[in-house]
Amino acid sequence: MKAWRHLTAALLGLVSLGGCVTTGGPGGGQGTSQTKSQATNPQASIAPAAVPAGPAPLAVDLARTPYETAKLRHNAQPARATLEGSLWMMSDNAETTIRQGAGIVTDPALNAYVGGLVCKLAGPYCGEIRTHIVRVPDFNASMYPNGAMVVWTGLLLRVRNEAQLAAVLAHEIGHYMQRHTVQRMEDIYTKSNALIFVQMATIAAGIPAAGDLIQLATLASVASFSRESETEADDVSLRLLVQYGYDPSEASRLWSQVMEESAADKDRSRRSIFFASHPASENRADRLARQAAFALPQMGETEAGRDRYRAAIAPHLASFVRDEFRMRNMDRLEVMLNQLSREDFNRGEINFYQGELYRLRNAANDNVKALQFYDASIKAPVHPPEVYRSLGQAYLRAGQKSDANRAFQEYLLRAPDAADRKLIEAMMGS
Amino acid sequence: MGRTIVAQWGLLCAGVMLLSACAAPTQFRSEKLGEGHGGRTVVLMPIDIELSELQAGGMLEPKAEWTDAGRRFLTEAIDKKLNGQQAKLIVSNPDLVLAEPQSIEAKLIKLQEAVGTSIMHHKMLVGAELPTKKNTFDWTLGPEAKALHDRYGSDYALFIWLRDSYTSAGRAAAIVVAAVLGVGIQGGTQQGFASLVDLRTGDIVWFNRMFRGTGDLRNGGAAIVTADALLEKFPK
Repeated sequence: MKAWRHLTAALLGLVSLGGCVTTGGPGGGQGTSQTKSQATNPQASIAPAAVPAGPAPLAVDLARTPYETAKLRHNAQPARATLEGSLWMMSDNAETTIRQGAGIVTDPALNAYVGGLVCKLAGPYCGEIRTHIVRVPDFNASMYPNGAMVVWTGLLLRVRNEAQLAAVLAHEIGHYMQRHTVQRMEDIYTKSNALIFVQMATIAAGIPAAGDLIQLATLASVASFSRESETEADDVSLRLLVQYGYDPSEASRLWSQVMEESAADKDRSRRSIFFASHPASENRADRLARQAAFALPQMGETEAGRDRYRAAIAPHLASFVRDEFRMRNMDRLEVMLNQLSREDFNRGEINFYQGELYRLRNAANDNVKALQFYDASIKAPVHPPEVYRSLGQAYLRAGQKSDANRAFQEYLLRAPDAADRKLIEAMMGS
Repeated sequence: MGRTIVAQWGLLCAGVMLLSACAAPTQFRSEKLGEGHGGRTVVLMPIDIELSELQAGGMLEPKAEWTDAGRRFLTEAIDKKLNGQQAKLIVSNPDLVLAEPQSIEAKLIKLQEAVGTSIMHHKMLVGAELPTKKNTFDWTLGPEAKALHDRYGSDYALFIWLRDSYTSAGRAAAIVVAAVLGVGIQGGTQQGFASLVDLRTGDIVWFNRMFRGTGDLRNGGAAIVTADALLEKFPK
């Protein structure tokens, strides 16, 4: 019974229309009714899990563009009477909800940048894909079958350059062009329908206790289908990176970054939706790396587009990081900020955030670390005035009253209109 | 073919639900249309509707074509019914929300769904009553609802939310097999709610919840039965 609920919940997750899994898709899933039947067991087993063994083949045809081999006709409008037409209807509704949401990012420059890149990568499909940037501090992007693409701000924060962003966006475009959501839904309906009859058979046969195994086999078979589409989308991504001259090795680099961050998360239940939907992450990073090694010798000059990407993201860095702090997942954030600080950009700002992390976490020795990072921030040519306020607070905690006051004074000097002036003055007087 | 079985199972489930956990499905603030101002014009806001097929395994497969037909037939049936009650119905553009997702009208529809869901939880489920709303029905969308009065020149707005599922042949077979084995599994259901908002105040003056194991919105003839159930005890 428990396993049955587990299966239903898992299927629901897969059913969420944001078919993709660089993803897992934000909500938008349809309500699904549950049967109340109780499973007992087997005697028959259905569709065994096809767990890929060993390295997957690398047969990617770089000579043909993914546009030529796409399964979705360019500018297709599926008939309303089909499953595809129905999924488009559901996606239209989900997209409307996303557009109505308070989290939608409306900044014209950022939308133009990300949307422009999507358009370039989508080629002839450009006019059919609408990109929505949503303010969520986690790593995710998803593609709806109707052409709605959703990119979370947490992804933009974790991506280092245009090639990495292109790798993700092209992967999503791959899901769209290959009609993956539609195929996956067909697969899920078929398998869940088959499941109930196998369960009935086992009830009739009176065999106890093997029902769970049947359900798990079905679940695994759905998941393996999903892995196949992931691999196919990765292939589309690689071909597009090659076509537009982006360094394809950035794809596996991005995976490694995100995996390192996820590994730091002690609380598995809070893990990124990305990993919840990606059972074989390490295989995948490995495969992406081998793909890049295969493609690179066939390419001319490649680029990562680091400066262009930083210029587009810099104005939003503060707000993206602030959202991450709200998640209160300090161990994960620590890894992410360490990664960011290894990049040579906005050092004064990043060091300030690192200091904030330790000051707020306040575990053993954290206050000392906070002071060190504030110090590093101040040594950078550009740093936010708030670093002096935080420095003052860290000094207060360390019992260094006069150092604290000097820092507070500096803060008020640099931010004369600070809304918290009165509060700071009170702290200085106390 | 599955429909008769659905009907039986659905009715049973509906009956069980009504008896065990549900209070009166209709709530009023006023029982008369035009109370206080005499206006009897009602704008029908885009119906939030979805028709789907219940698959053998218990998953719902949405059906766009059925949904389109259901929306059309239900709109016609509501028009017919309200005209019979001397109300004047204005039908808003059903694609309003898709076309203008950020408009005040679209936002009011969302708000109404949130308020309607609260009413369903706290006014209709025994044991979940809110202490301050136990003996009163004073839910409102607030004065912003006047935007609809300005746009349509109407006195009231009628909001409808509806989900309708139909048993597939496979599900019907599963129900039969399960029944033989002594296991009960559910067929399709038709459920939804309707609320009438006075556009001068934003107050919800009438609210009705519907839960049925029968009905068919895919054809015009049967839609009137659903409209009757949905608009039960509609203000005269």
